[in-house]
Amino acid sequence: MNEHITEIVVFTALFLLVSGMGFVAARWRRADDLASLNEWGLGGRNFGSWITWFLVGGDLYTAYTFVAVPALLFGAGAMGFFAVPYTVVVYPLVMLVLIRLWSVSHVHGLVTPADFVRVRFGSPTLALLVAVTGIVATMPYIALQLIGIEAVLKTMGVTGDLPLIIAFAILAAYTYQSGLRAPALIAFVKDILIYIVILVAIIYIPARLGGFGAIFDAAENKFAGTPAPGDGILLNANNQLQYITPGARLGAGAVPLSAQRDRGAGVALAGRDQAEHVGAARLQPAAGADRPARLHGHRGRDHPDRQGREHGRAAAVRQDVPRLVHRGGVRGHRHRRAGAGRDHVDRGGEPVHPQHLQGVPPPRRHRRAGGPGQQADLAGREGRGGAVHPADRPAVLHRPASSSAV
Amino acid sequence: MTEPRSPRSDRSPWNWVLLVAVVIPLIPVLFNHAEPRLFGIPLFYWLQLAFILVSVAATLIVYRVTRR
Repeated sequence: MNEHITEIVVFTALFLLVSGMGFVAARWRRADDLASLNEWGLGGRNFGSWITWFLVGGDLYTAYTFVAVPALLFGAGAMGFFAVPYTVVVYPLVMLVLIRLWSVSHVHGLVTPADFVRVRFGSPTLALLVAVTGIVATMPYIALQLIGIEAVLKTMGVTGDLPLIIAFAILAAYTYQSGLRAPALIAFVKDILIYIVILVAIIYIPARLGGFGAIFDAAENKFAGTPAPGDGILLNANNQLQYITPGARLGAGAVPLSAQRDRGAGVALAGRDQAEHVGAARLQPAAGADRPARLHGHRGRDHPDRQGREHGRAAAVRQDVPRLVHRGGVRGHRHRRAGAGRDHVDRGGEPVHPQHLQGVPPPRRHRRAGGPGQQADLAGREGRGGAVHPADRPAVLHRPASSSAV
Repeated sequence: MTEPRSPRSDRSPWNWVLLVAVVIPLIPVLFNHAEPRLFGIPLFYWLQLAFILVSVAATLIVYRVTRR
């Protein structure tokens, strides 16, 4: 236990701080009636630009960006960098839709994407489907959060279900009490931690390793020594197309979410790909493409107080709803995704994102695909990480576990 | 909170500016090179990071120009 004392102290301090803030958040920008979904789920719709900025920042930069993507870069090189241009491309696209969606929802008092769909298309059935889909699709992500917490605990030498249950109960309790205010307030802490990590990554680590030039040279040598054809610090002729077309993988990659973890995506992907970690690389863009999906309505709850009014409003909303969206065929899921950070509530301290789930499998395949040097390096880290998910192939989460303890 | 009843449109030629930020990062020929390096970082990485600025500039321009 002693060797973990630093980690445990840091973890405990942060956990207490975050939990305390989670409960206090209910009183932050105090609501008249926290029982209304407006207040609970949207923070009263009055988070300004700054709070939203922090909240979205805390949402985007998660275990996926800090663990899965670096792991993919480590294993496959340039291919893993797709996450950066992907985000660059998505923001302008989402902007087209989001501004209008926000104002329409604001005017009509819509809270969830299911609300929007019901009012926009006048179909309670469709809204129900959206809501149910959102809830069901969220389940694996919640499960993944549990695994993530478990991994962190195990990294510190804490095992067993009880600590996990306690931790999650606390997270659930303050989320239940404070709604979106909890993650929004906690996002400030989280973003500060993220900035610390970034500064360490771009200043301290290169300083210790002899500069970026040395790091990339070493990476180049490492990739040159591996038999896998798909890796390297640059893209090659074969993977450029998949690098720029994450969306093309959406259908294949996004569907078997749970299957990827439980039955091993490695098998399915390896069947399609020559080199296993190219399979990982292809999975990743798919995961990335799926990421916006998290923005859509997880929580299509019912609003009895609103149902009566909705059909009356349907026509009005239909007029309002963007021509822009209809033009160019960007309808459907983009509407829902645009729900964005605003009504993103059902998480306990950590955002519940598809990206977590999809981000996890790749390291396992890197491990297999990597050269001897990589194996040794990974093995060294695994010693600290310990097994994470005994039922699964134990390798899955280790690297994420030890890294995410930062 | 009153709803504007006049038919509104989000149409604006300025929206096409966004296309720049969307298309450029999707052309690997532009950035799939190691040289020239910047602070030791291959072009592939630093140029794609620089595309973030392009995206920010495009969204900022469109937002400022089209908002009412």
